[in-house]
Amino acid sequence: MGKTAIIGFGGGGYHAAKALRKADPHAQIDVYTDTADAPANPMLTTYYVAGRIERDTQMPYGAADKIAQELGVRLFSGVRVRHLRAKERVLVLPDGTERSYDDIVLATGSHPLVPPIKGLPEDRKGIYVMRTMADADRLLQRVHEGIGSAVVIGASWVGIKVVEALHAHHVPIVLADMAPRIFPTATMPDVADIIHQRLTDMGVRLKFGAGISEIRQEGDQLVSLYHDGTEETSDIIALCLGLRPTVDIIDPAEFRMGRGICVDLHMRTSVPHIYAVGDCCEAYEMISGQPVVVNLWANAFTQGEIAGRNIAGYPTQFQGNFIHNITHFMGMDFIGLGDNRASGEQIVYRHPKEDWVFYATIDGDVIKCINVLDNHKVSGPAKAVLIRCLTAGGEAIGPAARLALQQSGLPAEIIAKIGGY
Amino acid sequence: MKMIFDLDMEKCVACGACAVACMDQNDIWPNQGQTPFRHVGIVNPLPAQEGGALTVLSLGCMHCDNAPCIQACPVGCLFKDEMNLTVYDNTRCIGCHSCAMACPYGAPTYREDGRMYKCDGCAQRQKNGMVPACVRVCPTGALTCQSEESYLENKRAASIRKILQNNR
Repeated sequence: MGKTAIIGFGGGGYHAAKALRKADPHAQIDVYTDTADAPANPMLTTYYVAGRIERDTQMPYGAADKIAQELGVRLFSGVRVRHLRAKERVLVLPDGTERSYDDIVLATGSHPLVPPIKGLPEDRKGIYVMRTMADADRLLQRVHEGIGSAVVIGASWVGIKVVEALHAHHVPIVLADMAPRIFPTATMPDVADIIHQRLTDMGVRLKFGAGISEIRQEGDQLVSLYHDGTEETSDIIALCLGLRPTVDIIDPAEFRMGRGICVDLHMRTSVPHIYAVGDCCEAYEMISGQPVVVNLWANAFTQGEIAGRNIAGYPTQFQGNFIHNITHFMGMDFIGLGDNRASGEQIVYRHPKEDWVFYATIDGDVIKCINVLDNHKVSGPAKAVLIRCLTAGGEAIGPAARLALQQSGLPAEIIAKIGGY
Repeated sequence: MKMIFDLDMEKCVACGACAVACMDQNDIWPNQGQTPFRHVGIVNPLPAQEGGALTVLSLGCMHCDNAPCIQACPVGCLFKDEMNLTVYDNTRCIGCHSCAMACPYGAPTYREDGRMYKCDGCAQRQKNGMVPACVRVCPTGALTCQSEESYLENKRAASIRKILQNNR
């Protein structure tokens, strides 16, 4: 094996390095990261802002130096690769230095979408996003300085966690989204209604069907204006409008591109010996059969391992993934699996005594979507059933999976329907 | 040495001894709302099997080779030990339930402190030369935990015995 460069040191980059090192104790592995921090899980930023974890806990594998030593990699911290000349496999560094490699892993992650909203302050004063530890530091500092009111734009997975973090600090909040409901890409309307009611009861003001059109500064406050003609005044605005793959170091014309860098099941891009993993790439999605960007920690973990193994000469394929999420927020668990736009027979189960619900959409023998509110026990077995449905051609689930579903509290008739028998 | 849990479903009678031993070993109090790490149950038969034998089994953490709970944990609480058991240190657990969503068998449980607790394969017992509590009490020998080498050897022997019986 020759020299490998890994660009980006999040979950994907870390696991690519780890798999590569495990396969070859002598390989040269150079890792480039634009921060001085160790791999950090973006999902943990809001837990830190809420005061539920220490700052270092955002970095699950420990300090950067310790990791570099354990993995035997050359770590170039604080070095943002300026450009990749893909066909030559040459990295151009900020000082103009060029380094060539035999294999390269792009693990550059993603960044928050900040659309060109009219009036958005150029200095971003009072405007917050949530992705990196630096973003979390900045919001927490503002919390310590005092926040009288906040508007969170985007009822997304990140948006609700920002709401939760600010709610923990007793900040009055408006949660706004141009979509008609929370988690619009995951929730079924009835399940969303339950969540809306609970959030309202907890004092969160909801503003759906209202896309932001403009921001105005009035003294120390910000006024956000919406397409429906309404406006909100707040101390801060958090923009949680989704993520975009970070691909600015490549020339898109050199790669096959979709919303991210397209990869095959070996995590290979269209350029030989260049791999892409995690949030910056789009890979096979099991329900649609189309390539999709899946912004999940475990997805980056798996894809990083696969790239590392393939570079090391151990052919390994990605099974595929699908959009799924479990979000634990404000005393609730929402579990969303699959495509909530899919049509088919709707199965509904509301537990008669405990306060949890299960919704599924089934088209023939194929489960298209599952929503669960407040029963995490269902989530794992149900996800396994969905994966089996997608990979085993409707074959009935085995006894262990059936028992796991029984133990989760689902009645036999529902298990029979989703279990393919 | 890699250890493998195995359940011979032809021997399991769902007596519940394994679940009770597990609760005793791990100080689990179901009456205080704590969820046991091991369950026994009778699985509803498939419609096509009606009239056939019931399926009974004991279910706990499978200590999967490529354990999805480890991949899912955002704070790195879960990991493999030298026996390939899926063990954990929940000091940093944030109670996000990501491991629950990853586990096909419902192995992770949560307690009032919000943290995850699960079967660790009685790792401490095994390090001290003892078998897991659930295995120790299994009256029919259905539940075993053995080295990979021993497990594969026993499987081979069982296959040969079956072939010989079928040819009699």
